[in-house]
Parts: sequence; C-alpha cells; structure tokens
Amino acid sequence: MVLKALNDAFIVAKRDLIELYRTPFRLVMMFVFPVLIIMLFGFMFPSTSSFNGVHIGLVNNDSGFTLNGQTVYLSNSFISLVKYNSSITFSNYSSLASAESALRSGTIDSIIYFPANFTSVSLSGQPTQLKLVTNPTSPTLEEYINAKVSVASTVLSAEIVNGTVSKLNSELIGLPKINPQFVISPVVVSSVPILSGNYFDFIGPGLIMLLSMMAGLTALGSALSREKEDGTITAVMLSPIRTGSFLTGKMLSQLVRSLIQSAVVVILVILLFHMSFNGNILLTAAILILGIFGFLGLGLLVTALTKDQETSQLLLNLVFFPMLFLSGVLYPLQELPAVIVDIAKFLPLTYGVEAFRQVVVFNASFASVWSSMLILFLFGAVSLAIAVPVFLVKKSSGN
Amino acid sequence: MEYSIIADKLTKKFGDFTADNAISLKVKKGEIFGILGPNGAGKTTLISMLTTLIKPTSGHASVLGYDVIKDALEVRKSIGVITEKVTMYPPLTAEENLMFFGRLYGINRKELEEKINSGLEEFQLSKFRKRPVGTFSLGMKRRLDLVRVLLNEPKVFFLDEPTVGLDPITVSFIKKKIRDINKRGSTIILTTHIMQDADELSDRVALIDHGNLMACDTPKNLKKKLGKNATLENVFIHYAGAELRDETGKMSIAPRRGM
Repeated sequence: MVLKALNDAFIVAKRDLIELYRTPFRLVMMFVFPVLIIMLFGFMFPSTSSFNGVHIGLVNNDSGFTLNGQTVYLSNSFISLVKYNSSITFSNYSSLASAESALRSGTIDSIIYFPANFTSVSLSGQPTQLKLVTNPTSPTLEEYINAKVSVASTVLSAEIVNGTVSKLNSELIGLPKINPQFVISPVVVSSVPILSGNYFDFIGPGLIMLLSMMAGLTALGSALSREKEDGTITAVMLSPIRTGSFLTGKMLSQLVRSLIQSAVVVILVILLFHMSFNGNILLTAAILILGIFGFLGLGLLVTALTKDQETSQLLLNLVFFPMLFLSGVLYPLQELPAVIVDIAKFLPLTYGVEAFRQVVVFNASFASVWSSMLILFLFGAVSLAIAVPVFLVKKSSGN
Repeated sequence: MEYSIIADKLTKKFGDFTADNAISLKVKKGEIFGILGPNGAGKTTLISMLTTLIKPTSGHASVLGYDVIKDALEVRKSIGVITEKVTMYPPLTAEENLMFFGRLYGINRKELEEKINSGLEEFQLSKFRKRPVGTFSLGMKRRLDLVRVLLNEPKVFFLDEPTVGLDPITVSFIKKKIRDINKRGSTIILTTHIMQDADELSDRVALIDHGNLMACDTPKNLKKKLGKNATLENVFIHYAGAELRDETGKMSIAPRRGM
C-alpha cells in the first residue's frame, strides 16, 4: 500500500513536471520573476563596487596658494582622491546655485563646493572647509558619496598633517619627535572583516530564502487552483489514488521546480552581484528544501479555506509582506525595535534566512544551523498536519 | 449480485440547503439508467456521492457491493466517470494524458500502451496522439475522455451530460459508443437534459426535482401514464413543472468545480 501510494505520488509529480516543460510561458516566468526580484534588489541595495554612473558637480572657487613661484591647489588633489578607484565623473559649475539646480533636476548626484581660500587657509596652519551637498532621497548613493568624500578628506588631511609635523619635528631640537599618525589619530582601530564580501552577501541569501518561501506558499495553491479550474482534479480524485498521494506528488514536483529555480537564482546572484558562496552544496540544498517545505502547509491551508485563487492570493500577501520586512531579509534584525525582534522570532522565515546566510556566506556546519532547520521542518510538518485534514474535509463535503 | 448500484435514503445537505433528500434507488446490472431533472435538482450531487467525490450527510450507497464511504478506493477502481467538463490536461498530449490516468489505475506500461493504441484507434484519434489536448475540438476531447474511462475496463459508467455542446455527427458517434459499452455488459448511469437522448438510450429513468426522487420507471411506462402521445419532455414538465426557476448553484459544485 505504501509503495502504491509513493508510486502514485511519483506519477503525479512527473505529470506536473511534464506539464511545466510543455508550457514554455510558465517555464520562462518561473525564472523571470525571481530574477527580476533579485535584479531589482541588487540594484536598489548595491555593493559599493557596483555603483556606476555617479556624477558629481564641482563648484571650485579655490584660488590656490603660491609658494616660491609655484601655485598649489589642494582642491585638485581632493578631487583626484574622490575619483580614485571609481567611475565617478565630474562637471564644473560656476556657482553653488547653478549646481543646486542641476542636483534638483537629477543631472548630478551631489555637489562639492571649494571656497576660494580652501588651499591657502589649510597651508597656513588653519583648518579648512569644503561643502558637500547630497541628495537624501537616494540613501545608498548618498552613503556611497559620503564614504568617498570622507576617505578623500582623511587622506588629504593625513598628507597635510604629515607635512606640518615634519616641519615641526625639524624645529624641535632635543625633544622627542612627534609621530604624524599620533596627530591624525591617537587611537588606531584595526578593522578586519572576517571575509571579503559586500552587502549582497547579506541581502542575497535573504532574497533566495524569501523566493523559496514564496514558492512554498504559492506552489500548491496555484497548482490546485489550476486543477480546479480545468476540472482535472475531478478526474484524478475519481481514480483510485489517495488524496495524500496526490498532495505528496504535487509537493514533490513543486520541490523539484523550486530547487531548479533557486539554483538558477543562486548562480545568477553569484555571477551578477558577486555574492559569496562558501557553503556546502548539500546543506544549502537541504535548507532550501526545508524553506519550501516549511510553507507548503500554510499555502495549502489558505487554498483549502478560500474559494478562488484571487482570495487566496490576498491572504497570502498578508503572510508574505510581514515576513519580507520582519525576517531579516533586507536588513539585520539588530536594526529593528525590540518588539519587532520578538515578533520576528515567531516567523519561520527568520530561521530560514539565518541558517541559509550562515551556510552560504560563512560556510557554517550542520551543527551550527540544525536548530533553525528543525524549526522550519516543524513549522512545515505542523502546518501540513492542519492543512491536509482541512483540505480533505472541504473536498469530501463538496465545499 | 442483481444490482450495480443501491442507494438507500441518500441525503446531502449543504448547511441548511438539502441538495438530495433521502433518495433510494436500485440500478440493475447492465442497465442504462437515466437521471433527469431541472438544473439544480440534485442530479450532480447524487452522482458525486455515488462516485465518492463527496460524502453523504446521511444514508448509504453501494456500487458493485462496495460502500461509497468505507470502500471508496474500490468503488473508484470499478467505475468510469465522464463529467460535463472535459477533464484532460490541456498542455499534455493525448498519449501523455492517457498514460497518466492509466498509471493511476495501476495498469502496467505494456498493457497500457496496448489499451491506448486500441482506444485511440476505436475513437479515431490515433493520428492526434502526439498533439496537446488543448488544441483539440470539444468533440475530440469528449472522444478522448471516453478512451480514458475505458482504460480500466469499468463495470459501471457515470456519464454526466456526455453529448452537451457537440455537433450531431459526434453526438451520434458517442451515442453509438454508449450502446456498445452497454452491450459489453457495463451499467451506465446517464444524466442529460436532452430528452430524446434519454428516451433513446435509457432502459429506465429517474426524475429528480428539489432533491427528491419524483418518479422512476421505464420511459415507456412514464409516458404511458400521461397519455397516448406523451413524450419524455411531457413527463419531465409534468413532474418538474413548466415554470422557469433560478438555479440554486450549490448542488452543481462537486464534479464541475472539482471538489
């Protein structure tokens, strides 16, 4: 009996996959949607190296400083430092007002304003100032430009301090020499990343798990709704197949297609956004499978309780959106208020994202993620244990 | 056993609404048994219960001696059902559809291939075997549906409006096949709104209205009760009334929606 049940499930799964293969549009859409989501998020939250086409307006009134017949412009050094190792381009503006107008119209992304005494004040031993005007409506771009300007400022400051301290040291006879680094930064922090990576290493695994959750949530629902609409579920239910086998077959086919989908997405995010992939492939696949499995029951329950696909889609959105924002997909849970963190602990996606990120990025072992995997499994098992009887009752009562 | 189907006070309620009210009937082996009634009368619900798609609220029924609740899988193994809506997967080819359903009946691949070949041949669909069913006309789909239900050689057939929407040539072909199937010894339960089909094909008919069994006899006897030139349509109107009525919808849920 068990063999017959498994065989029936396999037959149903095989049929589903043949149907997918025979429906090119559905096959293409299976990849287009996740790829679109990944691309959108990839460009919304890019890694620092992936910014292209950043354009800065310059209002350079720096009149320089002339010494021994040679005029020095620190503003030029500053601009070179901002440009260093990036594809940032610059345009010159005659006044701050015209540059601001360009910033408002979107022609440029920010403005660097050098006053006339920028070099002269600095070389006469006084702190000098420049003005950076940014666009706060584009936070990631603003952050990127701020970082670039900050680095340029630090490097230029170091050069100025080096020169000043060397001059001082030569005048301090009989006294200990001052290390220029001491003047620049008396306390030095050595920040060492545990691995080389970027923001997509954070968001990429989160999005992949999110897509797995969506596949799990919507898979059975849309498959069963389609069968209802085509009337084919009637013919299947009139054959000697147990409902359990039918549902298992449906789940099996959805797992296979979701795994293929996820594999393609993983490859794409590695190629396009340079996401680190350091994890064990089997463990990665196991977490993905659990991520899909974890939400099959919930999807089935919603399908069983709703009359049509539109209503179930609305209900599924109620599940999807809180999980998207509260499960640590887009930003670390540490950034969220304590209440939200407490809520996140009850969301299974939180555990899926955490486990997947640890394995994919940090090559965590099974021992580190087994508890998260267990939670996903339990959530899937319990929700299926509720959903399947509800589905059966609804089916046998004709509702 | 003398009877293929026995229904004993079979009742189905949807909330406060009674779709079928204590229907009792017996269908003899090898009989073509017509079930007639207006839209929403309870015909489809009755068939849904007899084919194990939905559970009765009360009462009992058996098909070939198998209880429709306790032995649902055995019932399904022994029956073939054609619903008003063609139940094939449009993207799959005719052959793939038949292979899928045949495998669900546990027919081994070799035997199944032979049955598919002979079935497609019999219903003149051999040259379309590799075509997706979505490209078929309604008549072709209906013929393919008949090939499907014949795969497991059922002893009892439930045909729900098998000729609706078909052209006269296909209707004639399907009616001939229904008779052929019956001649092979199978029992056929036929629901239809086409009185001429019911009159031509049925050995006996049951008239159902508002979930109640109003009459059950041979078409000849039913007509005779109304007069010399009475037709089955007259019988239908006599029991169901001539007034137009709104469909109650709830009763047609089961097979047509799939659940």
